[in-house]
Amino acid sequence: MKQSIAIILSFLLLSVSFAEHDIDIQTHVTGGEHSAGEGGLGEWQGSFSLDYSGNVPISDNVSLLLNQSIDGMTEATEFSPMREYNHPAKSISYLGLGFYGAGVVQAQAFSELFFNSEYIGFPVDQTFQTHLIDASMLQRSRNGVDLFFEFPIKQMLLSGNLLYSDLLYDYNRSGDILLNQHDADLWGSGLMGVSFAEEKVWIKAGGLLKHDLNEFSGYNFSKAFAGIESNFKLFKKKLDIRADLYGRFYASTLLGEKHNNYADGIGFLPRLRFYWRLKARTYLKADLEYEIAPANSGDLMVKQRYELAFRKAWKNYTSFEIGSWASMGGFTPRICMYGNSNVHFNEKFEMVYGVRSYLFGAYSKSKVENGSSDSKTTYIFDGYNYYRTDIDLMLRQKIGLNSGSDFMKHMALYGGARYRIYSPIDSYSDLFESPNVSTLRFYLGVTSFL
Amino acid sequence: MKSIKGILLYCAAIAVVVTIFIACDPGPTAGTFLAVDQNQCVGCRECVKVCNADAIVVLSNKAYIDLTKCVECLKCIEACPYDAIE
Repeated sequence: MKQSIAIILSFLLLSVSFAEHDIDIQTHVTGGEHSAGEGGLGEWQGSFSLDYSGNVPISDNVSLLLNQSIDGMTEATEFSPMREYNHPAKSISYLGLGFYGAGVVQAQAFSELFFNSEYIGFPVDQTFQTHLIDASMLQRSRNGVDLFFEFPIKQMLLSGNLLYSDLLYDYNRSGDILLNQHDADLWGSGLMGVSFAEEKVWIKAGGLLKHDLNEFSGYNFSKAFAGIESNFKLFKKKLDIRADLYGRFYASTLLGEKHNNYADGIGFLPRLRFYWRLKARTYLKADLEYEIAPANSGDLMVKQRYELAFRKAWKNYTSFEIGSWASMGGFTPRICMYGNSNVHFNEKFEMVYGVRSYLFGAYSKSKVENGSSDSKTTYIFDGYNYYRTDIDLMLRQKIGLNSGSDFMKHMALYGGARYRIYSPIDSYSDLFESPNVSTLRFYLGVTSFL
Repeated sequence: MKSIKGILLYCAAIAVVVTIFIACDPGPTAGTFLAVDQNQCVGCRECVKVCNADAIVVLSNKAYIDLTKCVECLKCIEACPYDAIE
């Protein structure tokens, strides 16, 4: 068992801007330590990213949409300090047109290219228990088209999104390698709404579908829903009540979604929210959500979420809030308690402090964040988090520390540095690496709105 | 004094919620896989960035998990700043 520590170096950034075009180039050097075998001396890792986004007007109602990002990382192997990065380099490109008038229509083609990727093993669930099989996937590229539209027309709303994507990959199972496999999917969502009574009541209907376009046609599913949303203010507008009720029909040809315990059929989603202004700048919020749906077991599946929060603010923008929410019926039942404060000393200096703590058997996470800012110029922060789960071996107990500073000058020049330690505090399985990770990252950018 | 009363009232309300929460345990019919709470999701794509399996798509600013691709690494739960994945 080894370790070593590495630390960090340098950075470079260049940013060039034109009218509504932004280019950021960032480089990072990251150090980490891991216990990947005898003699391990830790690992150095360099990374960079380049992002470009452009919205180029062609006419009053048409714009050319451009987005390009390139990310790269050295030493992103199976022993990477950050196991989630199995693509040492990737390029993501979006190119399309946007039409703006009574509504918005955006049509974009995208291409994600993964360079020098590694095969990565993955767990496969077969009997509701996660375990590893000798199989791995090497992803090569993902290409597709994204079409989005939205038309708010007086008391009506019409929106939708179609997404086609094709993932190209190689598949290795016990040495039997299948090259150039395709996984093509079509996703679609749509929503139509009509409002009444000065938009206090909405009736909405819509749907979601996924259609697998190749041999995995059994992986299709669809949902359709219809419901009513209402929002009323009572008691001289001191009490704001929102009440929603949706019914939805769910149908799946398969496996994947049915593992989620949803059976085909009709479910209901009631939701109630109260927002009560006790007095000036003092509020109490209560939120109740349910999802009641038929389950594969034949019983009813009941998902619940409750939230209660209290917020107090003062004239000088200082505020604090405390709250709690609890959810159950999902994969990770949780109770969360949180508090946030913002002490506003003057226009140039304020301090924020936030605490979140999650409780409940299988999942817990506590997090403390603290920050102070010198209005729009400097933000200094530090934080702590602790994470623990009994749900899955893939996630181990770990503790993290964050510290850093960001700055921004006239909304044009920005930058910062952050240091992060992320360390496992238990040993859970030989199947998975349990690296310690420490990183130091510098970055700098320039944006122009000329 | 009114503030103290308010806080006490608030704490009592939390106790009631927690009691309801524990009392209403739905038992084994709970969902067994990840799901996105569409009311909490704002489509920030933080989950997409960390997903190793290309299992998350965002449509009209809402994330959806494709369970046929999900490998249950649970990184999306950690990544979600809005606690929308559970």
